Amino acid sequence: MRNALHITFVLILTAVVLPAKADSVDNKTPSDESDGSRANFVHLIPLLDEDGKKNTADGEPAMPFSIRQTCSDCHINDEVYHSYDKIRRGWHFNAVEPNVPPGRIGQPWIFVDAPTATQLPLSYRQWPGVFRPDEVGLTTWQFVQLFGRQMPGGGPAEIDSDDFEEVMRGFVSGKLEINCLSCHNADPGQSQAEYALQVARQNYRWAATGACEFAMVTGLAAKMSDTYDYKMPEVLDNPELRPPTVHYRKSIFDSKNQVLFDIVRKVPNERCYFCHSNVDMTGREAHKWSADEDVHLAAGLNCVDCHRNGVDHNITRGYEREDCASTNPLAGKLSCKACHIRDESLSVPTAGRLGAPVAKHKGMPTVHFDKLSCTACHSGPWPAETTIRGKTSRAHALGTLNVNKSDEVLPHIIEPVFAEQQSIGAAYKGKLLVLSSDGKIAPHKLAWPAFWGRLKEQKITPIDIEIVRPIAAKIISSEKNRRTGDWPDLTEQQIEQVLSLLSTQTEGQPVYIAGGKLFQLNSSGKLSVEEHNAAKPYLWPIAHNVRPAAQSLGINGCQDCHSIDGAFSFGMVEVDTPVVSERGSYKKMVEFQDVNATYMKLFAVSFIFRPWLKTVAIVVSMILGVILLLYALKALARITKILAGED
Amino acid sequence: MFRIVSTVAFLIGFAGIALHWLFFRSKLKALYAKRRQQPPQQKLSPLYRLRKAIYILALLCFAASVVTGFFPLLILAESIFGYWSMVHITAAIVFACCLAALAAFNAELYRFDKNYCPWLKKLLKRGDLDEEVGERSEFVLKASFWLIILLAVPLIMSMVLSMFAFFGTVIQEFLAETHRYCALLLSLILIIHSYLLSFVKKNE
Repeated sequence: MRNALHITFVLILTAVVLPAKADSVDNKTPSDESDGSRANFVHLIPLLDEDGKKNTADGEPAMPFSIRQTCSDCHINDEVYHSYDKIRRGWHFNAVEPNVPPGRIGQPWIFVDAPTATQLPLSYRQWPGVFRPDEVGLTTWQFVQLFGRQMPGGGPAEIDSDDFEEVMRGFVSGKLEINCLSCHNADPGQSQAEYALQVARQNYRWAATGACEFAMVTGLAAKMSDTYDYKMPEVLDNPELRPPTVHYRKSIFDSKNQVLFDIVRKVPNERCYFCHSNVDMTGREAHKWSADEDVHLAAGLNCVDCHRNGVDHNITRGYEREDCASTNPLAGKLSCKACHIRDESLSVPTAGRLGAPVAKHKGMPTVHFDKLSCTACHSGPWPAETTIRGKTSRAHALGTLNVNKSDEVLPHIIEPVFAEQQSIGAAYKGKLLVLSSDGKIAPHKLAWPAFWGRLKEQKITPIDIEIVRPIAAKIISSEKNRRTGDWPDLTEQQIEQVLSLLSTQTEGQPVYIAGGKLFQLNSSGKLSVEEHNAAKPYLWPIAHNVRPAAQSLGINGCQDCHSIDGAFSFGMVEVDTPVVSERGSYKKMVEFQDVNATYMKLFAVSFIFRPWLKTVAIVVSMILGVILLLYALKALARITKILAGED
Repeated sequence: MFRIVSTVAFLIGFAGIALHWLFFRSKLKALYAKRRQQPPQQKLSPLYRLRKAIYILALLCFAASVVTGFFPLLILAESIFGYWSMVHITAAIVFACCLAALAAFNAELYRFDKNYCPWLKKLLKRGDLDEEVGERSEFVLKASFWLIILLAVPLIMSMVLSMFAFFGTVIQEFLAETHRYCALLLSLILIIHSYLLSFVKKNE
């Protein structure tokens, strides 16, 4: 009996230890530990599918390669084994992680539904003013369907849905893994537009393959039944169904069934541009051939020269005080100030890095550096009498196929709005905290939220869009603006009707938010309109495009900003709304700056007298100087007389 | 740094004046009482009245400049901005004009006396010493006048130069520091000057 126990114990121990031993034998050298060489590593590698099986030239059926499997074959990390698991915590993928400090407020995803007159800033990050997708009734699956086109995979795309139907669809479509090629593939054949198309077709498993230069993916997972298994041979009773199918170019495989990838560490700008392009709708500059690029790129820098990261992909965003929110050792050291302003306290100077011109700011009183961000004078479009509208890749799906190119298409983003910077979501000793605003004024983009919500216990939350859609469809006509993608012409009467119908379907008081105002039915059933905090616009700072010093605000003198009708303080900010009766209204820029408008006006007026002030001050100094000189000479004359014995 | 320096300087300045007033008030009053009276007609002359008006205006503008300049910095712990700066600049330029006028009016009156340099007279073995002159604190009064004029030049020019696009941030900061420290010194000296002058005026 005792022997039997011994044998059992030894057997159990062997069963536990042996695989671990085998694993450690099989353990590979961490390849993400750099040896310091700046040379590019040639990526001649096999294409592995989800199960880790090699794709071959003659393989039938051809399987989509899995980024996780293909890259993780080499990119392993000594801490968590697969680098993939470390990378997924990087900035581009970690929005869904609740413990990640949100840092400075950034660009949200903007949910738009023109027929219901809805425009909502969304984000999984804890930025004040945005709504979490689940607050609007969007599951992670739906979120990826809407915005996966310009996501590099991972994040919400790898979260399992709680909805049974979506779980079933997930088996068909697969997961939208982090697509390293989205950024690191330098081959001109890498097509992110194709990637967006594959995402729209719910071909998540196939998206990375379809977007790369040597494969083509046909078919739509979205049309396949819940029981479709991509590994099974095609047995289709419906000829209209086209299962996702991969076609590799035969010539890409070498004799060892390896494929050459043009992978680079230094990501080309064009890869960033797919998700981070901006268009200023100024008419002339709306065309990219007539608009200038960021001065840094024009000078030969790459986006990643400033926005850097290690294997953890915790990329620097480049704002001041970023080190409070990021663990990247370069956070806060790759800001405008760090490269362009000489810091005498540093023994090793950082100013002038990569040839950055060190700013002199001639004639600029230093109070400006306490009150303004660098971008206030150097970034974004030059302020005009009224704000302009802008487009961004992520908001307007720029660069994707069949995108609506109309100037009026939603969402309406307004810029440049010179507003006080908001607080920073930081971290200290593992705890999230809010770092108060430094009070500096910076240029921002702005979006006015518009949505149907419910007012309950003084809190307004958006009503699920699926509840609003059928009601709005009966009352609001969006036919007229269908082509342009603009707002429908919403009347107060229509709002009244929708609100009264919504009151039968939702808890709490139904309300409509648009253009900074709250619309609700009062006790007598009439529409009342008031300004409300929940209707406040969402603003996020403009960082690019940076203009050179010769095109910065102030180059023409103080009057660039300090004039009685100067756009910087008194520019008109468009209040965008679908409500016809509210259209055409504006707010003054100064209302966003936490500065007294009368003071700004008076201060601007004082600049009219500034030349006089200078003249008077110089004359006074001259009089005082002459008197001093005169009596100094008299004193000298007296002393010389005394010394000469004449006195 | 400047906040600490200026706080300490003002405290020492006011404490010094208080102590002086406590211990030397009666002596100083007695000494100034002996001073030669100015003829009454000169007192009432338009020029005298103008001088007095300018002096009062200068004192008011000085007070406004000091309060608006130092209050945000010392009490609010922030650099001068907003309405503070507007009042400060307006008061300061009027004060500068008044100062130029007072300098022109009073320069001759505030010429130094050879009696202030007993060591020089002793050295040269010339004339008798009028010790009373030395005791009357006239030297401090006159020296403070010339120091005010002397400090006013960099005080004004540091601000004027910063308004031209000549200098970069480093020099701008130097000019701002120069302005601050000159303002601090000028304020202290002007306070002492006004304190001493009050004895003269009372006895006139």
